[in-house]
Amino acid sequence: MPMLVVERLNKTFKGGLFEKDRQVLFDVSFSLPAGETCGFVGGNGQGKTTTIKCLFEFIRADSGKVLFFGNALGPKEKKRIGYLPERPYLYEFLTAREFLRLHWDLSQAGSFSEFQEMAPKVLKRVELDHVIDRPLRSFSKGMLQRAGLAQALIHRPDLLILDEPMSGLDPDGRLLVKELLRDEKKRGAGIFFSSHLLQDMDELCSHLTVIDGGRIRHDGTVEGFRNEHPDLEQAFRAWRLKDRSSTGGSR
Amino acid sequence: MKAVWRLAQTSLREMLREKIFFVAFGGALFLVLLSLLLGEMSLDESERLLADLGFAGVELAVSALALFSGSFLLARELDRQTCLLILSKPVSRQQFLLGKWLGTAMLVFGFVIVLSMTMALLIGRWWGGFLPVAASIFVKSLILLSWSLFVSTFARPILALLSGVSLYLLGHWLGDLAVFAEKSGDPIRIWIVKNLRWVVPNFDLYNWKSHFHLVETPLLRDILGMALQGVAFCAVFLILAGFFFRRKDLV
Repeated sequence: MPMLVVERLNKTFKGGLFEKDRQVLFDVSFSLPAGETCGFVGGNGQGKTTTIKCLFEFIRADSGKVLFFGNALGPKEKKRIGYLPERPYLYEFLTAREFLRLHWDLSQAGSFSEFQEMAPKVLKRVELDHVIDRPLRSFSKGMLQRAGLAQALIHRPDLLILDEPMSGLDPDGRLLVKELLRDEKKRGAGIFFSSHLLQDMDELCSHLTVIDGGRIRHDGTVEGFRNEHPDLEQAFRAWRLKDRSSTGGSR
Repeated sequence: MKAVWRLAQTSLREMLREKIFFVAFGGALFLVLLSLLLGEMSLDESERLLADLGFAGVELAVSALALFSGSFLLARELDRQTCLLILSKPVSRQQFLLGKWLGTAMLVFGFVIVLSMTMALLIGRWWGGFLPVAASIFVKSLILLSWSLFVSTFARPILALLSGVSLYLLGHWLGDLAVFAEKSGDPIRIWIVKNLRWVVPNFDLYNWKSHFHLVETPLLRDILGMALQGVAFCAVFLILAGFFFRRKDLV
C-alpha cells in the first residue's frame, strides 16, 4: 500500500478587494510507494510548499484527497509522520534537549526514560550532541535546520516529509542530511522531500514528482524523467511556453 | 489534555521572555507605588486612596497584558510559522489554541497574585474582600484575553487589540448606556442596549477594585455570578476562536 496518495488537489487563494483569485494547484496527484524515497522537484513559487501544506491541512485544499497509510490525516497518522517545514523557525528560548522533549511529548512517542535514551542519539546523528543544553537562539541557521531534522526523526516515524531540508546548508550540512536520509531509507521509512535541485534527486531518490506552475509534470522514476527530459531547466522552459500558448499568455 | 498542558507550559515560558510582560509589570508597580505616595499625602484617606488607585493600576496593567498577549499570540506563531511543527504532531488546532490561551492565563494569574499581594502588603489587610477583588480583576482579564484571541483568528492583531479595548470600555459603560437609552425613549436604542448584555460582558457587575469592596466583602452570590459569567464568556469566545482558527489557511 502506498504511504501517501494525493488525488486531484486544487487550491485557489482568494484575492483581496482589488485582486483576482489565484489558482496555485491544478489537479495535483501523485503517490509515494512504501519505503521509497521520493523527490518533489520544482522551481521557486511553483507549488511545492503549498502542496506540502495541503498534505498536513495547514492550507485547506478546495478539492481533492490526501491519504496517509490508506487513511485521511488524523492523530494516528500524524504519530507516524516526521515533518520539517521550509523555514524551521523554532522556539528559540528552549534548549535543544527541551525542544526535542516538547516534540517527543506531543508525538506521544514514549516514556521520559525512553526520551532520555533517544535524545542524545538523535542529536548525535545531526551532530548537535555537543550543544544539547544550549538555547536554540544561539544556534546558526544550519544548526537550527539540523535541530529541526532531529525533531522530525526523534519519534522514529514511518514517513518523513521534508520541505527543502538542504536549503541554506553548507556542503558538510548537505552531506549530513543526505546520509541521514539514506539511513532512514535503510530503516524502512518512506521519504518525501522537496528541492529545486535535480542533482539531489539523482543521488537519493528512486521516485520523482515534478511540479511546475501548480501542475504535476512527472510522477514516476528518476530514470524515466531523465529519459524524457535530459535537462530540467529546458523542460521547465518548454512547459511554461506550452502553458502560455494554451492560456493565451495569462499565466 | 496532556498536549494542551505541554503547550501551556511552553507558552508560559515564551511569554515570560516577552518585553510586554516586563513593561506591564513595571507599569503596574509604578502605579501601585504612585498610589502609595498619593495615599501618604492624604490626611485621613490614605488607605482608601492606596486601595482605589493601587487596584485600578493593577487592573489596568493586567488588562493591558491580557489584551496585548491575546492579540499577538497567534500572529507571532503564524508569522514565524512555529505552529506548523506543533500542528504536524497529533495536536488539533483547538488544542493548540487552548494551550496558548492556558499558558497566557497562567501568566496573567501569576501577575494578579504578585501584584495583589504587593497591594495587600502595602495596605496591611489580608482579610475581607481581598480575594474577591483579585479574582474579579483576574476574571475580567481572562474575558479580555479570550476575546482578543478570538478576534485575532480572523483579523490583524492591531484590530484585535482595538476591539479588546472597545470591549473593555463597552463592558464598563453598559449601565450608563442603558440609562441614556431609557432617557432617549427610543425603543430601538432601548432594545439594542438591553440585548447588548448577551454579547458584551457587563464589567460593572463586578467592578470591585475599590476600598469599599475590600472592607465590605461582596456577597457570595455576586462572586459566583461573576465567576459563572466569566466562564461562560470565555467558553463562548474560545469556541468561536477554535471554529475560526480551524478554517484558517496557515500560509
